[in-house]
Amino acid sequence: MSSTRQKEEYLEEIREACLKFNFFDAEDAVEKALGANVPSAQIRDCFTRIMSDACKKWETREYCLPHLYALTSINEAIHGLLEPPAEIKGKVIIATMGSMHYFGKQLVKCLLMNDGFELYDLGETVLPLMVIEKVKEVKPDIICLSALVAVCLPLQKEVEVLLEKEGLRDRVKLLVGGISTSQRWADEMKADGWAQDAVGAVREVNRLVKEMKRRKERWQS
Amino acid sequence: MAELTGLERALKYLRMEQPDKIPIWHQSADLSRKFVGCRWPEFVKDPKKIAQGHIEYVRRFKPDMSGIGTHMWWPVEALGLKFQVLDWIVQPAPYPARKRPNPEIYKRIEYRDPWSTESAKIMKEACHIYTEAVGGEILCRQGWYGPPGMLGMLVGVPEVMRDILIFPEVVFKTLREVMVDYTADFITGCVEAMEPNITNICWAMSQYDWDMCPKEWWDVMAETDIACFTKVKQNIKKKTGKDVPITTHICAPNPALDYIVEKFGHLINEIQYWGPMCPYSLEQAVKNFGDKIPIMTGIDHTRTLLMGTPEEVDKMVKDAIDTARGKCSFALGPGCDIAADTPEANLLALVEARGKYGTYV
Repeated sequence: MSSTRQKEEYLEEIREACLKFNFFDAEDAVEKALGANVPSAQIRDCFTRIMSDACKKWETREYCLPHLYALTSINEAIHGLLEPPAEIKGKVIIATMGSMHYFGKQLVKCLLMNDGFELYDLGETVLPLMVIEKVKEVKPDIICLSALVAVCLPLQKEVEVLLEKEGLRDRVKLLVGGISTSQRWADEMKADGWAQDAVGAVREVNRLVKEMKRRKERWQS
Repeated sequence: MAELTGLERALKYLRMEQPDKIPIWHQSADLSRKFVGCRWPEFVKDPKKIAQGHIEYVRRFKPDMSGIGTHMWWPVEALGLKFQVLDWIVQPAPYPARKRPNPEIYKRIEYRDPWSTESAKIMKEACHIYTEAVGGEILCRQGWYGPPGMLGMLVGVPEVMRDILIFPEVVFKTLREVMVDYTADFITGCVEAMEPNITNICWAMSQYDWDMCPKEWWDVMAETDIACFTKVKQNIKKKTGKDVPITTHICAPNPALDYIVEKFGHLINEIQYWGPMCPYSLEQAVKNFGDKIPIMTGIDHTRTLLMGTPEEVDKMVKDAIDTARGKCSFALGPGCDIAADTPEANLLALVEARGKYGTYV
């Protein structure tokens, strides 16, 4: 087992590679850290900080989308190398409805993975029935649906309609996002939450999961 | 002043002269497809249906400027992009560089004739039928991406942006050495398809955006855009003898309009951008460059037009006209193609509101 100081050095190496947006060096640094028995949880925490800093830099305009996307690519690639977290906060199905505009979805996915959620990524060009099938299979707590192009908004709405029709609506919370969406749209299509950006989406998912837990506890008592 | 045709109105606006009314641009591949009652797989293969749907759109909603399109991917099919034609949308097959950056992908891109594919031939024919039918009445205004945008279509927009951070020289080399010529030949063909109504070259410049692209890349990208549209302009001048205006399409969330005006102002004849959804207000645009260049904006196609009521559309149009009328050469336009579910009543309310608030005589 590496000493605390050595562990910090490995994590620093990962951070440095990420700050240079160097996909290949970052991947190597993570493999090296794992090889030196740095726990996956610490590497995950390291990525939480990296992504959180990146989102702040995005807000202050220091970073643009390419910086976020480069870090998202690295984060997603290394996630497969890490051991799953000991405790799962909740199960989340995530999808980009109808089109291939996946960037926002990828960012939310990474932030949620780092935050300890179990993610089921249906990918892009997803249709409502594909979401419903997955809901039946994995029984998630939350469904996150993204839509960038306005033409795909009705597909988000159709998921809500189908959940209702299948008697699944009360068992799951529905969060929508994407540049074409708004609080007004979320209200109109009866979603449980809406987020303007990725950080907001993570906040909303945490809020909705807590709300579900409180409700379950009330029922049990 | 006698009632002008949409084309006359649009050309006056581009020349910064006062037309009879404020012109309007909008178009929709989706609604046009619905008008001919077919799904995407059938629509994209039939030039007559593509043209017929868009002609019907112009007749029904009476824009002064409009374009004809299907999807964004056929322009780079000759370079090897595969796309899927689904019932509700057309989109590319997953990009090879999606999960892992790979410089070899860029090194393998070689020049091909952009008009060698079946899709390109179909679109050229559709464009020709369309412009023959409506080109005397309206300004046919179909936007095409410059070299950086075309590379984004081919390799994936986020992927290209990520890869510029990792191996910039490889990406920029492909842009300069392949994409400039490819894009120039592609756009020249698109403009030629408008014959005999060649009125403008419409250029999408969405990468000059504070959110989309680091500022330090803009000059390199601008170099390729300028090289490309200089070639297209020369090609069209040689063919028609005319110095055809360059209209723009900037469908970006946070466009660097000041940079665009500074860098391209001597080459372009209009700034068209995605207001009122972006932070650059129309008021600011009017103040900063309204005396230099015509401005088109003011229609929110994602919220008000798509989800609002005719009354809200009326207010949106009034607000835009109140801000710009008499202060610059102004046209109303959305940020992108109109979505399939946009209520017809809202599109009709747009023309009605323009009639109420945007008449000069």
